[in-house]
Amino acid sequence: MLGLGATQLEDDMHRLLSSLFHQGVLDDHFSQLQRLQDHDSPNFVVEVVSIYFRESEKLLTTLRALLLERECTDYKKMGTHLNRLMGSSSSIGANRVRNVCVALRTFSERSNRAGCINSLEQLEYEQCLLKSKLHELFQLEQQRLMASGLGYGYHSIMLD
Amino acid sequence: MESVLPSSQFPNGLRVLVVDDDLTWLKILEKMLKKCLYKVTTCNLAEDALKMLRERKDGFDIVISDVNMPDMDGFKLLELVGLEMDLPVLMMSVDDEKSRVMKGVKHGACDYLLKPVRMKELRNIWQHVYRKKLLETKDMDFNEDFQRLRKGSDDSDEGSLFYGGDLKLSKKRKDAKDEDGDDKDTNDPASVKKPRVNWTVDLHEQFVDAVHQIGIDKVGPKKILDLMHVPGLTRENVASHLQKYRLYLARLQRQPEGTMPPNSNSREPPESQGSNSTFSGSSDETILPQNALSEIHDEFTSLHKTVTKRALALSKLDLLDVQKQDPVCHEGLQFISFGNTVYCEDYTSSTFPWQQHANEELPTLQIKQQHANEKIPAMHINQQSCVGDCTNLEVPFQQPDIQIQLNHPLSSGHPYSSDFIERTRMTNKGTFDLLNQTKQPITDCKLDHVSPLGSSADSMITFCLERNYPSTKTYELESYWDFPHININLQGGSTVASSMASQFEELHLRSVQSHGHVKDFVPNGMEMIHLNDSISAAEIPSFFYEETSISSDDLFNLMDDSLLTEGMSNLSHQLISSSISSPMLRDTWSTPINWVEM
Repeated sequence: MLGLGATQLEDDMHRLLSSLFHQGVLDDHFSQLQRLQDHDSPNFVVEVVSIYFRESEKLLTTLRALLLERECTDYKKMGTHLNRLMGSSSSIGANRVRNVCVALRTFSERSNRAGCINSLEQLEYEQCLLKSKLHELFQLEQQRLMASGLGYGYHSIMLD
Repeated sequence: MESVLPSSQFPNGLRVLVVDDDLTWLKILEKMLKKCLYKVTTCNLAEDALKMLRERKDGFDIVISDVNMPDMDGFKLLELVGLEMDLPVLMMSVDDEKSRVMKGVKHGACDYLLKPVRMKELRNIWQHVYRKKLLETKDMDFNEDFQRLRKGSDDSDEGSLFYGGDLKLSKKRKDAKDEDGDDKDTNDPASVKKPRVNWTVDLHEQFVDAVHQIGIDKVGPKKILDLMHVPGLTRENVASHLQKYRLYLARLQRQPEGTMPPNSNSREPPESQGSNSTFSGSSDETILPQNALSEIHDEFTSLHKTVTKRALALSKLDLLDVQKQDPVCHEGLQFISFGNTVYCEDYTSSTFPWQQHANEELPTLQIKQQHANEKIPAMHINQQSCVGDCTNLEVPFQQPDIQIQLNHPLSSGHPYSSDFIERTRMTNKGTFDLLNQTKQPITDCKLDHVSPLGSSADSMITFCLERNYPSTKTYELESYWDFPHININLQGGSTVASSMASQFEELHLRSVQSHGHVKDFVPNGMEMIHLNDSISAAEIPSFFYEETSISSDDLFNLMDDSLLTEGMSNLSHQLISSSISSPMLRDTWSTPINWVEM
């Protein structure tokens, strides 16, 4: 039924977002991102997040390659890529991803291979988690829009 | 493509180029900047960015670039942009490590933003554009010539800086007689983009030749310009250079043996922020002495002098009889007349009293003439029976009133002024206070009346003295509002033969900042900036700031009867504009700036 379903979905979204914020998966910058969405760019958040995942996947692949496919790891290069990843993740408020990046960077600066591998795995995990959660969020939004039959847009359920 | 931003819209439509290899950020920044109503162009490669900038000269107003980029070091891009296009560049980075930040600043970054960048940081980036334009238009020809011509003089610190009066000069000249169609500079520095003229030795030679040909007494900028046949040189450029030249000549007349080692080949990077020469407003149209050109150049450069307040002191003051109607003031030390306005100067902060010599009628200084009618914030004591030194103002005890006349140019059209006027009217009490020596408001001296501070000429602040005030005390006038309060020495009794210096000490001006300003009074930044647009340097009395480190030296000795108004006010303009960059100070300057006639 229209309306009710939408409300339910809205609640679900709220809950999901709350938990993400609470767990530190997302931070305030995600809210800022949401605020940037408007009539001119109604799918802004989705677009940005898509770009992020596309780029960050590439980075992670490179990092993995740098770390594992060689005997001698180029830590400097790793550092450069890590900076990029740090920057990107901060742009969408991917808090935990960013934190792991920092840890990985520290290990990399100390040429601590084991630590790096560990962190990299954790990084990949966090990234995966973020992706699935955001995917879920966007799906809810889609459904909500359909259920409500109105095009309010994502920002109407923003948590501020 | 002209980089003209209509002042009314500024900073909307500010053309920003964003360079970042991170596509996520690029998208986000683009959106954020668009929300700030800027015109955004994005680029994810430094090389592309450079190409774009080179292709579209004047196509952008500001560049934001990330520090870490794959194809080119962000710092390198920063440098190149600064050198080639002279645009303000903001750096961005994930990393806020001090050394990186320092590196950024060293390479000329206007600011260093830390990622993740917030929206509010981007909102204010227009200030960098504005500041740059302001500084640019001010030190147009000025810096270049003198930097160039000067030779490692050790007095070359900022102390001597009187900012190029070109801006004001040309504005005034335009106001006076707008003959040229090449007036690109409106009253909006944001839209001005004056070409810098390098007054090289050769160019100056041409100039001097032209002057010789025409004859120094018949010379005029247009004539010189025509004779010089220098493409790209505007009448404006020549006019300002002529002004400087005249001053230099006047100075030369007075000190024919003042020589410096010739140095016609010095070329210094035109980056200096400040060396400008001082003006001397001699009234003589001197015949061009037959000196070697290099000597002339040397002399020109020797105009860089530092000015100490002591020398400035009163010994040089020579007030006009302009103030005939106010016999009180014209001989006062603190009160210096300029045109019909008398200034109350701040001496402890080594500001420069303007002075006007009776003989001064220099046609090139028509600014001065105009100023006679302009509203310049100043104050003088207007007491009927007061004679002699203003510092030793005799308070006639039979008259219970102290009237302070405030020449306050708050034009009524000004958004700021109505507020001020209202408050002044509504709350006379506390608007102005007479303070005693311990900085306490004098309770038995009531502010009787503040005549409206409107577009009319002067406002009068009248204090009603309920008793006779001891004549030897020093009093201060303090304004509660965003208004640099001015201290008056109400010393009465017989003439106090105190030394110049001490008189100066007694008179000091506290900055509005120390006073604390009324927050809600401050117009928003945008407004203030607009007002700045029409600031004409000379209109801002130099006592508006305290931190000047001008030390006057021989300059004053050399320029005996000179009018240093322009110099001083230009300096004040410089300082004000530089202080604008400080957000804290910005508010405090808003008032004086607002006082400029709009």
